[in-house]
Amino acid sequence: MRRLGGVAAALVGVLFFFIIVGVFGVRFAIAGLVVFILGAVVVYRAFPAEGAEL
Amino acid sequence: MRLDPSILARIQFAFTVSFHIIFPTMSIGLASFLAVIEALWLKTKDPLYLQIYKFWLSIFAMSFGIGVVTGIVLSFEFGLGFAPFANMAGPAIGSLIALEVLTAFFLEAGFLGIMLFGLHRVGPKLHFFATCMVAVGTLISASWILAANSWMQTPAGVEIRDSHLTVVNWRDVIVNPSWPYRLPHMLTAAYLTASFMVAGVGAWYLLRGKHQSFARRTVSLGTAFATVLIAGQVFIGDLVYGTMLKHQPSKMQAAEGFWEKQSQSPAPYYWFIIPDQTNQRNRFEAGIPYLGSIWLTHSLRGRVEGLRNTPRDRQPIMGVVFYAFRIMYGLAILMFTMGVVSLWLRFRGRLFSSRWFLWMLVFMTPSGIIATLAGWYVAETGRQPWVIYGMLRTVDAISPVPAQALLSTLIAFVCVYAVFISAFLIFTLHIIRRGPAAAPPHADASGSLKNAFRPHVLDNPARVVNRRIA
Amino acid sequence: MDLPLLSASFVAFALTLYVILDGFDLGVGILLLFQPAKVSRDHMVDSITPTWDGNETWIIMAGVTLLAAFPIAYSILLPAFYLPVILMLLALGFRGVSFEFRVQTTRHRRRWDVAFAVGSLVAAFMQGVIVGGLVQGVTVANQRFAGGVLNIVRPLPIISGVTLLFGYAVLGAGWLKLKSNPSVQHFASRSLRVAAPVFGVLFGIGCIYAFNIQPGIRSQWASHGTALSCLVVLFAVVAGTLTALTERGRPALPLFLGLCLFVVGISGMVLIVFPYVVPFSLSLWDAASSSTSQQFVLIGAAFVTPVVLAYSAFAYWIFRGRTPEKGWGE
Repeated sequence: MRRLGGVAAALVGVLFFFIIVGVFGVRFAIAGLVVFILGAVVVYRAFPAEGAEL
Repeated sequence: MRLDPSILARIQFAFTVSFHIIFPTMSIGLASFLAVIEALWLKTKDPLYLQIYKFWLSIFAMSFGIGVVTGIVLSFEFGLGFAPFANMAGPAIGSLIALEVLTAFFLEAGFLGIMLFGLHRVGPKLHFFATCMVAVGTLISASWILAANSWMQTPAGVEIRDSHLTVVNWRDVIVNPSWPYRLPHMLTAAYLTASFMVAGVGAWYLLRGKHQSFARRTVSLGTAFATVLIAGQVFIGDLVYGTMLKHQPSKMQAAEGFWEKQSQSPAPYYWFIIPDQTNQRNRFEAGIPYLGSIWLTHSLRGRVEGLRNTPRDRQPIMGVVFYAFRIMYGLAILMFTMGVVSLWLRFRGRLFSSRWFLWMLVFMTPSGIIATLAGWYVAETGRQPWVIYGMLRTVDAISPVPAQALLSTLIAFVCVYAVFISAFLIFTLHIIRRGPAAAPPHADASGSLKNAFRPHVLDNPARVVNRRIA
Repeated sequence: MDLPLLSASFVAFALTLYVILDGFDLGVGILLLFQPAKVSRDHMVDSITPTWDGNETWIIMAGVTLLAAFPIAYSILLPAFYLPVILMLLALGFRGVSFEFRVQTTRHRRRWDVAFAVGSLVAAFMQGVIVGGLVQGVTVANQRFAGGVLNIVRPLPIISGVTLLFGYAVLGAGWLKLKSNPSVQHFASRSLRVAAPVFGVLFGIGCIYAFNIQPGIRSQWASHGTALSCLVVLFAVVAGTLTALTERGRPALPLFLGLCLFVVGISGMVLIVFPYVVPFSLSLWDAASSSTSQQFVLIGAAFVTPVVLAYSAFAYWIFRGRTPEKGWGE
């Protein structure tokens, strides 16, 4: 299941890349960029790295 | 042996400017990084931030110093190697660079001393102000010089009167068609460079099991910044692409590796070509099917315009532009991948324990520098055969200096710059090997504005002093 | 409003500031070669470390203002002085990076001190060569440089190079008298006793030689005879005072007198060269760009220069007083 999660994450990443470089147009690109950055910030706050195992 | 002055002048400028760009790219990125770190230190009082600041400050100082002296070379090299270009473009770009010196160079230089040496002479707030001024200085500097270079790419706002260039509209000169896109592209490149440098060094420590808290904080910060920045960068990059496609179509035609006026449909995305400029075709080409149409025309079957759309005497050399562009874009894809992976690893709580990822970070330490250099090669070789696009050809812009002089000074530059970069690398690796100094328990900047009024207080021999050495 | 004249004044202003400020930086570098004690060498470099970068920036200001306001002159003068400019740039490069590299090592610090000193020396010498080459005159045809790159390998530029070496040594020693510990101050006084008279004498020889070889100069003497004579007398008096008073008087006196020497010398040069920006063929007005560029730079300069001077002075103030014995480390 973890593997599947990783593959899904990879596919989402590829999709975001295509969206942000404008394959679907500028508006989607901007929207995609904003969603990606907000998503990243959510991850930073919800999963603080300092508490990670070593 | 007959030496060609125009080739030598171009090689000399290409060498000195390539060498130079490495250092401001690092300095712009690290200066802002240091400002962020110092802000975090002032806000949280966590001594780890001061430790990070001091570590990266010494590398920043060396990079800044080399950037300054190699930059001075360029401001004179316009005249040394390309006097007719200087004569023509001076009224436009000379004015821009003059303002760069006034508003940015002096600002950086003026506050750099306080930033590097004033931690114990001035209070923490004034010191932070100095750090910010240096960072702002690098930003303003980048703005002016990008305006100047962008003017060379997409000239505007000038007229020819009595065979000399006169500026008629400063707004058009500065805010020329490509500047608003190329400036954020370059700034983001600099910030990405710093992010990967910081993350890479941190990753190295994690792999060695040393300086754990320093390493974790910097890997976290570096990857966090890098992820957000690379998303922005591929967005901005696409905008730059679109602008250059409109204003310098020959550059983008050369960049994609297609020769035919209209490529096949659907068009592949080439990753490897053996171009034959003389016969205007590729001897070999390999790429991913459909991807060319998708990425370049945003459709499934669109045709791409090839270099034969540009008259032969106005074509840049495809081989250089193509591979420089692929290196830059390939690294961007790699960076984006690293960003996504870092998000996933954070989510799974394994950001610091995934060894393959840490090794990738180590290899990606210089990725920003290489990508930036590659991007500049696209920009400058793609503009050829023009030095001012559409106005002045490079070959008509060469100084009346004999080839032997150009060759001997080229050799001198290579030798001297080799010393600079070797020393920089040796000392940087030394700093990394030594690791961050242990942060003292009472980690304040021990200066205060009160002490600044009485500098003799600081000369107390009872104070423990390191002289920033081994 | 005579824009070219204003722009030329700004170039002269920037150059003067450069010569004075980086003059003592380069001077300290030159004197480093004659200082055997490592601790003293560290002390000498420490005295100029916090402010050198801003000082050096004034030469870039002069150069790019020339590019913007007098592009024709820039495009003639730079190929004309191709070799000394490049050697100067490489030397300044070594000097600049040595600041950062020398503190990274103790074992090899001496090597970087040599790089620092030789860089300072070569840069100073080349600057003198360029001045001498300017006074000697530049060969121009059709608004392009028409001479050879080795035109500067002649007596006047060489004499000027050596003269400037001693001149900067005077400024450097003056700075050290003001900013360093007693032992280095003593070293500075000893250096002044040699450098000041040699500078004065060489300057005189250079002026006489220039007068003999360049008809353009003779005609300038004809029109500005009194002013130039006053400057000559003033120069001699100040040089003499400086030589006599190396040990006595306030610590700031030698530096002040050294600065006076340079101001007098530069004023003389301006009188000699004016109105040519490419001596002795192209005047300011012949070489100027259109008024829009002059205005852009001058307006920017008018607003920004006072701010620059203010925070530069502030930086000097932060690092005022004697250089701390243990340097600027934490």
